[in-house]
Order: sequence, then C-alpha cells, then structure tokens
Amino acid sequence: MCLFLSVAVFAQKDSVVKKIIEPKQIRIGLDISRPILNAFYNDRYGYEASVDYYRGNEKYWVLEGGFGGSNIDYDNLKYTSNNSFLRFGFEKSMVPRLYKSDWDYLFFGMRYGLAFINRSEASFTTSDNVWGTTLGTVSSKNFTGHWLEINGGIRVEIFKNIFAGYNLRAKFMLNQNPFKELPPAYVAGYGKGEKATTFDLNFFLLYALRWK
Amino acid sequence: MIRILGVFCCLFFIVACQTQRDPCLIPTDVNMRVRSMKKLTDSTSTDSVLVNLNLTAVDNDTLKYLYLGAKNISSFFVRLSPKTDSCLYLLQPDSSINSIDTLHFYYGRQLKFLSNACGYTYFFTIDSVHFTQHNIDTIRIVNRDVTTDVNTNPLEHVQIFF
Repeated sequence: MCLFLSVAVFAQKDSVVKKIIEPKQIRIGLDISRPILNAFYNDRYGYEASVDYYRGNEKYWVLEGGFGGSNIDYDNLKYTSNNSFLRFGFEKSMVPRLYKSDWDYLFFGMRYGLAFINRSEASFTTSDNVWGTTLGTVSSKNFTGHWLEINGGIRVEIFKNIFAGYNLRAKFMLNQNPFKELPPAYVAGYGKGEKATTFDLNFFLLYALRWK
Repeated sequence: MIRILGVFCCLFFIVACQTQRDPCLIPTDVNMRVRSMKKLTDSTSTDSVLVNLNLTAVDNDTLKYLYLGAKNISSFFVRLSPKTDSCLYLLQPDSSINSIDTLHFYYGRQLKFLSNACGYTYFFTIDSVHFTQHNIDTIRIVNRDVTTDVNTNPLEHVQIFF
C-alpha cells in the first residue's frame, strides 16, 4: 500500500524525519448508462453525474447529482413528474494497490440521497363492469425524498486519467409518508417511487485530475 | 478488472432489454361478499342454498344482472357503486317464485391508490343495509370494510338470513 506514497526525506542533525506526501485526485464522471436506458424506456428518463475526491488512505469523498422524471400515460392513470437529486458519501477501496500508480480498485461505499420532486396533477379512471367508469383527479404535489444507499463496484483506469466503472446500489427510503399518495413511477437518483427499497446499476466514465 | 467490466456490460444490456411497463400483479377487484344463511336455533345457523338466484343492480332506471338463474349457491358477490354512497339491488332467491326483495346498501367510499401499474380503486365501509322482508328474515353486517383483501375472517361481509 505504501509503495505509491511519495516520500521526502529530510536529514536532521540526529535523526531522520519522513514526510509522506499523498497524491491528490479529483475525478468527474458521467453515467453513460442513463442515455441508453432513456432510449429503452418511453415513460421515464434520467441523467447522473459524479465528482469524487481522493482523501488518502484509499478513501474517496463522493458527490453525485442529476435530474430526471417520468411521464405516465396509461389508460387508467396519467401524470408527469420531474426531480433533481443529490447524493453524497464515501467509497473505500477494498483491495491493496499493486504498484504506486495503480488506481484501479474494488470498493464499498455509502451515500445519503436527497431528491426534490414535483408531480403534476394526475387524472385517473376506475372501471366497474356493473357501474361503469369513474373519473377523478389527484392534485399536484411538491415534496422531498431522503434515502440511504449501500454501494459496491469497481473503477478501472482504461487509459491514462480515464476511468470506467460501475456501481451496484441498494437504496432504502427514509421518509415513505410523502410517497403514499401517488408516488412517482420513477424518481431519478432513487428508482421506483412506490418501493421502500430499490436496487440500481450505474456505469460511469470518469476523467481524473491529479496533483501532488 | 477488465473482465469484471465486461461481465457488467452484458448484465446491463440484459436489464436494458427488459424495460416494459410493469404488469399489475396485485388484486384490484373490490367485491362485497354475501353469504345466505338460515337460523337453526337462536345461537346456531347454517348455509342456506339459493336454488335459482337472480340478483340485479338498479342503476338509475337500468337493470343489470349480476346473477341470472344461478343454481344452488350459498355465497355470492355484490358490486358497490363507486359513483354514489348507496346502491340498490333486487334479490330473488328462487326465480320460479315471483317474490323479490330489495337491498339498499349505504356505505362510505375511500379512494385507494394501489400502484402505478394498477392505478386507483375505491374501498368501501358499509354503514347499513335496508331491505324488504318478503323472503329475507334479517341481515347482519359482519365485516364493514370492503377492500381487495380476500383473506378476511369471516370471509363474508354480509350475512343474509332467509
């Protein structure tokens, strides 16, 4: 692990003092899986980006954000929703470096997520084979969602300063009450609004800036 | 690491190919379950078989048959109207006998969100049942909440004693 550390040696009168200089790195990335998924889904969309900072000792601070929404146009239910979101947390490499400039790693991490959600007025119908069809509306609503995530994944430096990697996420909603009355079918950054627990995949391409 | 990335890409495209609208997988029918009974003594009762049931909903001036000549049944469904707080039915236990009772159900309605895939429905809370007594002796409400739950105890919402 300590092979990659830059070591400056200063001779003193009676002893040797070692000053350890850790490399610094900021990485910015985009989730390239979202535009592909957006093309497959016709009732939802989302975009995600990531910034992380290497804080030493194989730990990273991570800030992620994005936006998205859903457009539900079913026979019995119609509404739109959109939201922006932020997630912040950390990642910890679980494998030792093979050499000094080895930035590939397998990680475990956690996030706190926060989404600002707007849902339009919804119109719905119920049908009954005896009494016929009933029409109704549900008023629009603005609310926030909070969740915690457990993350795992990898980052691989495929070219110098260019990384690819994925995140597997398990997300646990912290405030379910606002979601009881017509939760959005899709909350960007979280997943299905009507689920208390969701699982997700991201595929990031990232660019790293390093300095000492 | 590159191999792991490759495996992930394969998984991703499998997931991406399964992106259809979620199916509705939970019960959506809200039926009031009715059981026909007869008293044996003051404290005991048993099922009463209706030999030839006609059950008709009265929607404004239109008659809609739910059961027409249904043979030898002792329990049946009634649909409550989501448009009004009461609904009227005509009950003829034996269509060979020209004797019809009216059942007037009074209830509260609650709009209930099921899921995005299934949409909304109405749940009901039965307040009372008004009825004529040509064939019917009495009616007992044993479970006021009419929902999609099919595992209530007792199973029926209303017992009709003949």
